[in-house]
Amino acid sequence: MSLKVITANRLREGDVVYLTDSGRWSTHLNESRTGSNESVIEEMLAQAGADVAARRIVAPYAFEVVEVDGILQPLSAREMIRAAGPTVRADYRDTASQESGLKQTSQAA
Amino acid sequence: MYRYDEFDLAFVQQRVKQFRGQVERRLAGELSEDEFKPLRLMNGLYLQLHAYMLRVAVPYGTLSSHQMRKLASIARDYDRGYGHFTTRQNIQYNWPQLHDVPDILDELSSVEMHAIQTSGNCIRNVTADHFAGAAGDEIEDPRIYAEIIRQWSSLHPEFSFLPRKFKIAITGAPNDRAAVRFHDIGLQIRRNEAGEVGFEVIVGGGLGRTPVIGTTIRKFLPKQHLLSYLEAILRVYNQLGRRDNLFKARIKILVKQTGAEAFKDLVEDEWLHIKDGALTLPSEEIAHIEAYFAPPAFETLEANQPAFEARRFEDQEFARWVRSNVTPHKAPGYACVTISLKPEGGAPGDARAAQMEVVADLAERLSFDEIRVSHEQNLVLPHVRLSDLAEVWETLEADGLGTPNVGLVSDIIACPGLDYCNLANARSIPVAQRLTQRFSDLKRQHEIGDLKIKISGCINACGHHHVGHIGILGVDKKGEEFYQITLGGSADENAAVGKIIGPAFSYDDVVDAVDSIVTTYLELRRDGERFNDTLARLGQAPFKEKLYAAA
Repeated sequence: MSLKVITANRLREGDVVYLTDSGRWSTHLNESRTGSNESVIEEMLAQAGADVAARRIVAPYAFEVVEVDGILQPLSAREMIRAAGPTVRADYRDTASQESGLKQTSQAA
Repeated sequence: MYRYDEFDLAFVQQRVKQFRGQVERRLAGELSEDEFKPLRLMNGLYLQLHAYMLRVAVPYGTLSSHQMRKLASIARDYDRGYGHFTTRQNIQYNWPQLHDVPDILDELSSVEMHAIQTSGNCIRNVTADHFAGAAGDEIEDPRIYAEIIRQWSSLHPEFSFLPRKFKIAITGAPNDRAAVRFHDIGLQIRRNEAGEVGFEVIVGGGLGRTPVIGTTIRKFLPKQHLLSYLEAILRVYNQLGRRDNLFKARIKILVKQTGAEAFKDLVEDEWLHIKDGALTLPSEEIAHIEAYFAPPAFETLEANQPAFEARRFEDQEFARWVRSNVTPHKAPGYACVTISLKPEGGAPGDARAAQMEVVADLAERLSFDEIRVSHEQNLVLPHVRLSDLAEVWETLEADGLGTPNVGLVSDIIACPGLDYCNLANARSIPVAQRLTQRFSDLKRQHEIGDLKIKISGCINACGHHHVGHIGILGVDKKGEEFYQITLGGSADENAAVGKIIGPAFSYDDVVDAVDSIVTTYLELRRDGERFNDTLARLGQAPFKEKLYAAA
């Protein structure tokens, strides 16, 4: 079976997060706990459900990844963008104030 | 401009207070997400791909400089320093945090703004011609009626749980800049043979997975009956519209299934019950609202301004900007300025806080304090003296807002797409960015002339791809982004839905594909022929031949 991880958003802030081995939620995909069989993924989703009830996160779900040289990579474009941020301008990705981002650095070409 | 009366103000403030309580209860665990979701959506708050997204209403696209400054400060204080102007003349913030949203709404209410009617199955924020009150071809200012419709529709108890969302657009000019044939209801202000002013009523238009050009069900509706007639349409839809299938719930499906004639009869029957009743608009009430939109105190000016003409003659760059971004105004000596939010490599519709402030300052000083948001994701200074145009242009230029491309190939509409949206299948903005880079040569752009490219990242068609001269639709093929191209659409008075030209292109190939189509057009067009004219004359074959030749 394929490898899956669990993602959600932080309820209060909305940040994209991933369930880790320690049971905490990280903003880094690569810190995700992976599951490769149905029962593990169900257990992870149950844990996510408990964290929904505890008002830590919202809207959890599982998605597929592959491990390449120790780095977790999503299979779909959607999850790649969700993990890395919008591809439209590099200066949109930071969390700091963006007023310095005068130069439009397209990542698209 | 419309100003809140005591009812509006009390109502909006009460809503903010309610929502503050709802957010507190959500964070305290008293409301589940299932309970909270419809409440947040009623206040324009979505959960998108990366974060929450707040959609703020800009009723009929009109803003004061004071309001624009507030939008800028919210972008800076609560978001990432920018906002995104949408095809429904609204603004979206892509990164608000849930616990801040009540404060954001509070700030908005201080400048008579809110996020009501920007989401959910209700009558959405009414859109209008962005040159309203300024255009030379206008019969009457459509915003008067847009505001009347807003007052009638805001939290209308009967229409708060419609089968699906409901969009109304209105234009006061024969040249349709509001896409009235692609809305659930489109209203076109008309003058009848007796010289009276009323509305042509168009129903059942829309884009999405089933694009439909609206049907006129009434050629002339006298003004006093506007609300009773709209109510009759909404009642028929509310009763008969499908609620069992999300994809068949819009009024366009009902009109198609019922047949336009039969639908019209149903509306007219319903109308007989309520016509001349409580919803009749007294002329005093129309006059009362009209006063809010009274034209500003235009000076009496010469239509010909020698200093402006001289500058235009001497300065080619200025002349080029005037040619694409400046539109005639009804008052002699004035013009409408469209500020392009489509710089080369930029995200269509995005503006940084500092840019919003530049626009606000210009509006306050040189455009009677008025700003418009266009459905093509640009901003407009509607009332600028010809003699001030050079100063406006220089100021805009200095802040990255002077791109001379309005209506040209790089003035692209694009939905947020897979970079932001939870529903998208493919990215839209980076495709637009690459196209603006490909067509960066302004001389070539002006040679190509009027050509509209519109991009949607999924079949919901928020980027209006069906009505682009060249439309691009992002699709998902096994997790990979592909793009289907349509040709020949049009959103104006020559409404048309584009037709698919052939197999879809990969993310890497789509820019070359568009370039090939434009090149074919340039080779084949006759003098003065616009893209859709050439396409109509020759059909898709020559475009297709070139496009798929290499494959």
